[in-house]
Amino acid sequence: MKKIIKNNITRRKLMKGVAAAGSVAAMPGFVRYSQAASSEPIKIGFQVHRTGIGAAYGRWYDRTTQAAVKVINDAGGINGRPVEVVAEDDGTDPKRGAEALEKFANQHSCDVAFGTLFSHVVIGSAPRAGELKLPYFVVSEGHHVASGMLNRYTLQPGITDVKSQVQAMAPFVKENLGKKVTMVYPDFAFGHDHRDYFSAAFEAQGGQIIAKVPIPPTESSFSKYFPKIPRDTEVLYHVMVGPAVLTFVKELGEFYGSKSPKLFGFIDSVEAVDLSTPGLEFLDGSYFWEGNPRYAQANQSDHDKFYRAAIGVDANGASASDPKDVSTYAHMFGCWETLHIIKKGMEESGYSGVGDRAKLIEAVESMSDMPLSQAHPQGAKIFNGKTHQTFGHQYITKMTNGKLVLAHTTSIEDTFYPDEVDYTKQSF
Amino acid sequence: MTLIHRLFLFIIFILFPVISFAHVSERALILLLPTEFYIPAGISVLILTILIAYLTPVSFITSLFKSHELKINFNKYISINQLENLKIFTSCVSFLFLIILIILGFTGSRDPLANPLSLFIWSVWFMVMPVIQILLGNAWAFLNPWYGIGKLFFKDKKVYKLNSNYSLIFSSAGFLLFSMFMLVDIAPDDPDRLANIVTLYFLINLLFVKIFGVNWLEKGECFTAFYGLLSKLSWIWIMEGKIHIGFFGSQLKKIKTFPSLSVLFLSIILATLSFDGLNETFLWFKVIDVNPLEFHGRSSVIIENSLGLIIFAVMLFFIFSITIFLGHKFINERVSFKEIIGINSIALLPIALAYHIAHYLTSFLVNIQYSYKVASDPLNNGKDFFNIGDFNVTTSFFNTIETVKLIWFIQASAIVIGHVIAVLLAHSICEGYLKKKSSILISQFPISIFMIGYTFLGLWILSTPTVG
Repeated sequence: MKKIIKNNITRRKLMKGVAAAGSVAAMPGFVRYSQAASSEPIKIGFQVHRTGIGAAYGRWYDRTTQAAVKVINDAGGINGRPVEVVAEDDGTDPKRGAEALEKFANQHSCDVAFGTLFSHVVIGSAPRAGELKLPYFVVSEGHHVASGMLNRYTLQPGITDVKSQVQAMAPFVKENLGKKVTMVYPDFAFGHDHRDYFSAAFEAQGGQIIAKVPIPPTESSFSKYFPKIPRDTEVLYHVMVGPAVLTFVKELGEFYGSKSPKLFGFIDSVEAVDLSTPGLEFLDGSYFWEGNPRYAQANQSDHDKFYRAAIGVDANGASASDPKDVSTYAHMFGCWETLHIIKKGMEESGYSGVGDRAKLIEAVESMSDMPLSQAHPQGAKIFNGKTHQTFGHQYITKMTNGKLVLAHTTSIEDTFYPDEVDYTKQSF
Repeated sequence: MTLIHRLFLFIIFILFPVISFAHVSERALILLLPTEFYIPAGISVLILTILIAYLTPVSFITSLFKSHELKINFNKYISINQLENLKIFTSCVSFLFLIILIILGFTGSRDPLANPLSLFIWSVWFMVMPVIQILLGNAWAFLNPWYGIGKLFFKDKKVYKLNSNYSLIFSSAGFLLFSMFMLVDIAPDDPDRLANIVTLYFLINLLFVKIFGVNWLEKGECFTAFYGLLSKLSWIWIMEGKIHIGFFGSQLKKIKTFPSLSVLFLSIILATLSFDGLNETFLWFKVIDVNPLEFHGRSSVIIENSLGLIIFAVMLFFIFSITIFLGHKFINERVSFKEIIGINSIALLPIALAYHIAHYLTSFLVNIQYSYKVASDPLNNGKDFFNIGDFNVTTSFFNTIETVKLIWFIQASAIVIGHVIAVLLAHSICEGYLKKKSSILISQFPISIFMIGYTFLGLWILSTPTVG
């Protein structure tokens, strides 16, 4: 990590010059795109969950992407060229995901591909990106990028991965909620990641996982599992997902009444769910991980304000045109930030066409510090060029009177773990 | 904001204040509803209907299905020839519209929710047309894109004659292929793929129109055959220049026989509309041993969904046929199974429509918004004909318990009403050829049990945990 930070200082100096050039482009009356050697648009292939189980996320990923591209184009595009988004539905299906990448590369002549969320789509598509030599910027949170299972053409610079998110929760939980934790999680890979990453990090902090309660994925009634939670549990860590999640909360409330252990969960359980839904009042006073706080906080940055306004999201994280339409706020910032990173990478590498794809990847690999800014409204990040994974602040919010109020912001260092791969050693 | 825009928002937010995608939160909220009480309540309504049909004299059902002739002489305003010319004209307009859509399918946005072809085919035509056939009568006769050019260019010369019964093999096969495309193919929404399929389907049927004449459409083209049958259930129809109205299915009083293979055709249709719903339930995922929370998309279940659909259709065909057979086995009147199975199978039609409405309502409420957006900028070139500005599609109606409840009740009501109509229709059909009330009662017993079972299936699909 040290080496990357050192590189960045040089790059930062370089950026001062770029910023100065940028300010000329932002002058009133400046004819956009006029400096470009080519006025052909930069084509970004957007692999989007339009149908299938990811469609609810896809709708907001699309909205964020369109807003980010508008902001980028209004400010002069990339290297003086306008940005054009070519959206292909991946059906939240790995096979279609790979086909979408083929279309981007062969049919639409896209410069890069970007976008998808669900891990199985990323894992199914990434090998094709490598074969096509198409830079593939994913926004999926999965640990598959940093774990080394993908390739040099696949990067995740705009959103942190689940491993760092989960482990960063451990110090807060131990210091503020309790030392004896019981974990309740769905019994498949998603739940297992939480179980493994959190228990390792929590035990390293001196805490104790006193019980692990896996729930079969097709379960829709949970009361029979609650007696397995030990009575001396101080903190209940829950990460249920799927259609039965509200039933889970309701039954948990019925089981414990007002005498529950402290609750800690991941927002994934209730992402895009209106928190005033009956039954969820039981969660009042409980804590959540949020990738980006849904509700505008007391310390809201101007960048978050700008970002919300650009996408059309209000201070409650819902659509400005329909306050009941709650966004996937904890995740979708990744699209905005990734597009800005692609822009920066193309500008730094002097990207002019598909022949420069390798240069673009090298430019992104050489990035490290990404300060809180309009390009990074979720917060500052440190990108690890070797593992192709970004690291950043995580937010813990407390549900208070139906709103999620910021209780703690982790340091970026809390999210670090040793490198598991060095993609820069792979050839193009 | 234009008037159209206001009207649109009115329809979306007031009439259906509960709209959303088939999204986790919607089903999550449904799971909080006391559906364990709603389902028996719905089934009770059906049982009550069955009892009323059993216990009332024959005249009750007869009078319910009586048609009324309106005193408007249609031919006074438009002659039969003019009506025929109008049909040719509107069909040609429909053909041109289809050509434009296909071109846009190939050239427009690659995003299926921004491409006019994908949105029109799946969210407007497929979802709305069956309902129009019931509400307005046989509108498809004017809208199908083959009729006009068939009449104009092929002069309706028949190379071969079509047998009404066996032609249903073509429409059955056609609908099954369509179902496989809709439910099994990995990307039926993809604009390119859809444009190819629509073009191919259009050309194949045009070839058949050339061979068999425009008769092919009603007999062998699966959608015209399906929509034609649906229009027979409409409350309004034209006969001999006169407008008639009556309860859903009253038109059938005049029809004594239907091709026996109708039972195959309608079993495939109902199986498709039921399986598209059943295949999203956690129970189905248990059967095929796939984790529903980690579903890897359609490409991972091609064999499972193909087999599921076909087995479901075959089972439905046999169960329904046996039901009708048993109903007529123990009566004291002589009836030929071959002659009555066709007309009896029409009772499946209101159920099919009920499943159609119940299953597609939610995606319709979302996708019609995308369609509205695209209609305002059909060529994807920044035009804004309806002045909608930054119109954002919403799915908030899936997010609040009140709207989710309302949507659920609309869906459940569709299922129950569809079966109620089916029960009454089945009764009325039998009255058409059975003389004694006792025979009618015996004939209806097995089908009544079938209807109760199918109502339960429909309501259960609406209430159980599902994927996506």
